This record gives sequence, C-alpha cells and structure tokens, in this order.
Amino acid sequence: MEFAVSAIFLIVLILPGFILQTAYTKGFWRWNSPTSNRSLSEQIPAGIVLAGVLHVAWCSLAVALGYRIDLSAIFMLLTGAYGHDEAHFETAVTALTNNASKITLYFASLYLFAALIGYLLHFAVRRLRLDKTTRIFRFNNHWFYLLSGEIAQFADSPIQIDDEIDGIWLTTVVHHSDADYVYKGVVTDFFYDREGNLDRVYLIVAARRKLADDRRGEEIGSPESESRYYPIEGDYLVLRYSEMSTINIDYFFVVPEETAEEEQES
Amino acid sequence: MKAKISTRLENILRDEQARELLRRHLIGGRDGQIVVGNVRYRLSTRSVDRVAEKSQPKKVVSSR
Repeated sequence: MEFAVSAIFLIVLILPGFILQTAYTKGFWRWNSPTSNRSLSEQIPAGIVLAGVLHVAWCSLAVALGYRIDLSAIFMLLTGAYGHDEAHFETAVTALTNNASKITLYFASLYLFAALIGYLLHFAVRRLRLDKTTRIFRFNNHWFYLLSGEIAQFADSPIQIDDEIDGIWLTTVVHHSDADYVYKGVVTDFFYDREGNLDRVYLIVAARRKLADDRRGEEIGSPESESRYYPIEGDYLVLRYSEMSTINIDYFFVVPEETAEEEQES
Repeated sequence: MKAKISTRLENILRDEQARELLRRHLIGGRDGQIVVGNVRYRLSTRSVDRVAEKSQPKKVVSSR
C-alpha cells in the first residue's frame, strides 16, 4: 500500500517535467511544426530535472502567496518511510486529505503552466528561427526539415535557399514483384508512425516508370525522355516509406511573371 | 503533416491544364512557363534563378 502511494506520488510530482518536455518537443497539435522524437531514456532525466525546477518555482510562489508547504509529509509520501511501525502514515495521509483542494489547485495550475511554457518555447524557437540558425535548438526531426524545405535555410547547410520554396518534387524507387519502379510526384502530406519515423508520403501529379527503362542517349527533358513515364490516375498517391529504397528531393519554385493581360495591353 | 505548397503552386494545381503542364515539366526535369488564367509563372528547380529573378527590376506596364 505504502509503495503504491509513493509510486503514484512520484509520478504526480515528475509529471510537469514530462508535460513541459512534450509540449516543447511536439508543439501544438495543429501547428505544422517539427516534433522531436526522443527515447524514454532521454526523457526521464530531463523530465526529473525540469520537474524539480518547476516545483521550486511553484513552491516559492505558493509560499509568497501565504500557503504553507508541508515538506515532511512530502518526504514521507515520497520515500514511503513513515517511522517506527509506520506511526506517521496517518499524519501524511491526513495532510493530503485536509488540503485536497489546495493540493489539487497546486498541481492543476502547475501542469497547465508547464504545458503553456512548453508551447511558448516551441513557438518562440520557430518564430525566431532559432532552430535554423542554432543547432542546439533544432528539433530532432530531419524528415520535417527535409520535406518542408527548411533544411536549406539552416545556417550550416551546404545548400542555401534564402526564400521559401514553392513545392517539393519527390523521386523514389519502389520494389514491385515484377520490377523496380521510379515514382515521381509533388509531396502534399507526410505522416509519422508511433515511433516518430516517416511512415507514408502523399503525392499528387504523380507519374512512374520502370527503373530499367532508363534514358538511352536521349536528352533530359526531350519528348522521348518524358514518354518513358506514364501519369498515375487518381487524386493522391500514397507511398509507404518502408517500401521506398532511395529518395531524391527537388525543391522547385514558381515565379510569377508579368500577367498575360498586361502583356496584351503593352 | 503538410508539406510545403505555396499559394502560387496551389493556383497551378487547381487548374487542370496547368497541373498537367507542371507534371510534364517536372518529369522532364526542365524549367518552363505555366499560364494560369492571366498569370504566367516560371517554373524553376534552381533557387539561383529565383534570386536572379528577384534582383531584376520589375517590368512596369502602364494601364493606359
């Protein structure tokens, strides 16, 4: 019983550290933003440290507002050591039950604050482009940066594109039972699996050809070269990452020239 | 997660003929022009072209 109380209390105590971490690394669910994928072994130490910092701040605030923190009860609940014959178990439980509303308010406000701070930090890093200029702020999600074109805006990227790209042209080789095929298309969406790895990619204006049907002397862009491909009918082509053997990414730009109407007038 | 598709590209993708032309240009791996309504776009896979484009003075057309 005491062990269970200690375990639950420990989870309740370190939860704000995990909330802050999750909010920061994943961002708000509607944001089109990178999400860091971190293992549990990385999250636990950071979560404990962050929870400690948050509790120090929140306890200080509570004391400043005139509330009293019963540290001995916290220590007893945390360690499960209630003295000889567990004489103080009742005291610790009473400290909890007598101040249930205050304790609930403390934790609820702390959880909310942790989430808010996490989202704000994520927003600030993205808004100030810190993840593009400083490696330490970069989210651990290279697929997002690659498929959004933001990788070319990194300060340390060998390919530099100052402007935002207009689209992403993906070329990939997919193995079929009869042969390998080259698929091409404009990327519209991409999805991660539970582990945060790339799971599937949605393409539009897609086309494909057999890999073996390579160019035979004809020039790039010639009608003979293009005729090797045939368009894929349908609105979206879904490709699974697990089935792609190689991927090539081309960022492209569409620059508006003068309007046809203005040209006629001139 | 949404991949990057600009408003200009969305305009092209909404137009069936322009979309087909875009596909052919991209498959061919060449730059080209795509007209949607009365707007003419230049497709380029090289960012340097865009930088050069931006550095050029804009053509001024009088309304007369």
